[in-house]
Amino acid sequence: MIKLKLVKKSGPFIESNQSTGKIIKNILLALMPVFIYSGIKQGFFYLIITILVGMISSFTIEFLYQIIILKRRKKEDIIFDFKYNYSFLPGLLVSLILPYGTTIPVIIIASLCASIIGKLLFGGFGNNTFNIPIIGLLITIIIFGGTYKSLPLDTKYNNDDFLIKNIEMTREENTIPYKLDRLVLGDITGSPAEVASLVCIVSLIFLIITKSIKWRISIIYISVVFFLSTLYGLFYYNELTFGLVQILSGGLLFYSVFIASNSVTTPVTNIGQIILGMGLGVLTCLFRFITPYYYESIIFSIIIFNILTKYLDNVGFNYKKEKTKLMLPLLIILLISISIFII
Amino acid sequence: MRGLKIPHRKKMSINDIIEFQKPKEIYIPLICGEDTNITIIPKVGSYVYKGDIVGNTKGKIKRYIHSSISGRVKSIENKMLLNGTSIKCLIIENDFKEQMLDINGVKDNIHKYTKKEFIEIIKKADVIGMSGNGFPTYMKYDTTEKIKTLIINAVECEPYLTVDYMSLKTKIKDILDAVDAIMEINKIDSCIIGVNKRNKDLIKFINQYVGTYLNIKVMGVPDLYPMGWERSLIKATTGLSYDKLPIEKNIIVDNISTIYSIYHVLKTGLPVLERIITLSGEGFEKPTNVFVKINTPIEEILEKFKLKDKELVLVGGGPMMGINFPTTNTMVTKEMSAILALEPLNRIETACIRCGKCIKSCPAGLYPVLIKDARFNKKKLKKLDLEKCVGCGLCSYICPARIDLRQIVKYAKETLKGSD
Repeated sequence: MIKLKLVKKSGPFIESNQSTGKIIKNILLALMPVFIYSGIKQGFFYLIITILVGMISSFTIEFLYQIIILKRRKKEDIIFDFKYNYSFLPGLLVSLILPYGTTIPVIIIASLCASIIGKLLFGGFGNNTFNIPIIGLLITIIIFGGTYKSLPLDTKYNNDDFLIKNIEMTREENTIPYKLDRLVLGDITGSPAEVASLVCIVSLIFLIITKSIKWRISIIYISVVFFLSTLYGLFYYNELTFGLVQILSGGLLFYSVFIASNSVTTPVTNIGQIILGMGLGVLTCLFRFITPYYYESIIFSIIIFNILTKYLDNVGFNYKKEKTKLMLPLLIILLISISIFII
Repeated sequence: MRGLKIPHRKKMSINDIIEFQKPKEIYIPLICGEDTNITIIPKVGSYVYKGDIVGNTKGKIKRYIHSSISGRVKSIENKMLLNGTSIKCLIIENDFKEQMLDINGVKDNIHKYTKKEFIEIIKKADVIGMSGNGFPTYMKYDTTEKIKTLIINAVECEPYLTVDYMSLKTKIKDILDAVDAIMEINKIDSCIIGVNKRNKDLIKFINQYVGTYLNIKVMGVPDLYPMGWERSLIKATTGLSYDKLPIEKNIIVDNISTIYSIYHVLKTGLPVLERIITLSGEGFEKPTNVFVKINTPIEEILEKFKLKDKELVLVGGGPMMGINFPTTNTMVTKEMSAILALEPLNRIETACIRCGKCIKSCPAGLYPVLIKDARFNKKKLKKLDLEKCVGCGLCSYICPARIDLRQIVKYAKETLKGSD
């Protein structure tokens, strides 16, 4: 009888080089250009402080939650949680999408809300129904209203005629208050995410190459907004650059690359993802054009479509069996996009 | 074409086919397919000749079990099968004389059979699909439909395995002779040998010999896993797709090892007693291919072909679809194409992030992640086409969260079966 060290395992006995950790690493790498560009524009000191505050608050609350609520006492369990829960991510993303000049207590509250309400109450990493940073931002808006943008640090752009968020205009004005070149370069008072709109394209390309995000959502979202806004601009303002203005404002590029295409809260089927991209685009345009004084069009569209994720999965699945079942959601999207122009 | 590029790791075992024909004893498992209701013919202590029938099934589908050596029946003991079930085995001690009872003699011309004789002889010899499924081959040929195309599966999409490659490289003349005979006997119009596109040298090599056979063609198929799956292979070579069996489109698919065993059966009249298996993986000191007797104990093989002294996983078959056997107290079977000694993986399952990679890779077009979500909901499961799963394991392979989706799909399949 020969002696062998044998291990019992179930197959497959080889594995791919894909892993959740690698995907998160790629996303962090893709955030680097955003970080650098925003740092140049808004100051590295400010940016690092903001991000660190967000990350540490998220990390701490999750650590306490694991120990106090879940009663994880064993060392291995705690290490496992650290390794596979990515507890710093909510704070990191929230601090990037909060407006420039948000005070530190507000950043802490936003990060905590994102971690607790968005993530932990749903059951932790991978179980959230709603997009985690969006939940943080949304709750901050609800609690503080407009006042959270107290801008104590903001002196550089205070006198600018630009707006923090989306376009503020009425049809009677017939002009675009934005200057396109400043939007492109990010010379605006906005969140780090908004300032770095243009470099998000670099991130998008990187993430598509490394297959780390559901790229269909991002690309279709951006192109639908661009297409509809260009049409809208030609129709009402006789202005060709309106589409560009729309995709560069409000951090749409950042949101579409890093937030809307988040894999946990989006459909798994290709068709579902395509419909999601179209729906997000149409809904964002609708919010922007119909209620121009209303901010946060993107985050509300994302929240609404988070609820529809399971439905879109079903649509994608049914499409394979009966092609006709795709008609209903497409029809709704078409009707909404037409209604933008009628209203 | 659906599938994934996976690493090949084949180079290490491409060297030679070593003969290993003298096991001290053999374990003959008394099982045919899943049928364990078998009449045992020899008694303990009696002498059996090489090629003797030692058992046959009682059911409708008659199948035979043969002894691959001559010697005395030592005992009937329970041994472990690869899948972990314990099974009664005839243990025969080898007298190394290779005595045969009725010697038909070697035929010069293997073309001189009628279709009826051909089916009878491969049925008696118990020729089965030798790449893992174990489906009796005669049942494919025993049809009233016209067979237009014979597709030879030499794709070998599983990593590490080099059985098909090495058989083609060393036995090409015999294989082509057998293919030609099968085509003539069954009046098949054409034959396609499906080889991985990547193996340009092999395609070139076969083309040198194919010249004289006008109806045999070599075709490169995409370098994807699981290209050796019947549906994918037929789609890649002919563009056709079928509902249940390939014969609907007048096609028969056979593995290259099966063809080689048919060659032996037609040539000598003996049943299938030998096969080539790959011994490979990081755990073997010298990975190679071995020509062994069916039912040789794996322990004896591992005594000659040494393993490295470290923690290893032993796998019967390819690394994707093969089965792990925790003990060496088992035997080589006809379906087994390889023994792999691999380094154990440290799979830590984490939460699903719904990336959808399992859906994109599934060759059958299933939705593993949706099956996982609906695994306790029978109503939903019914809609998800579970029966299409081939168990290729790509979903488990690709999953970034290391979730064993194949197992989940398998369980879901079983719960659904139990409910009907």
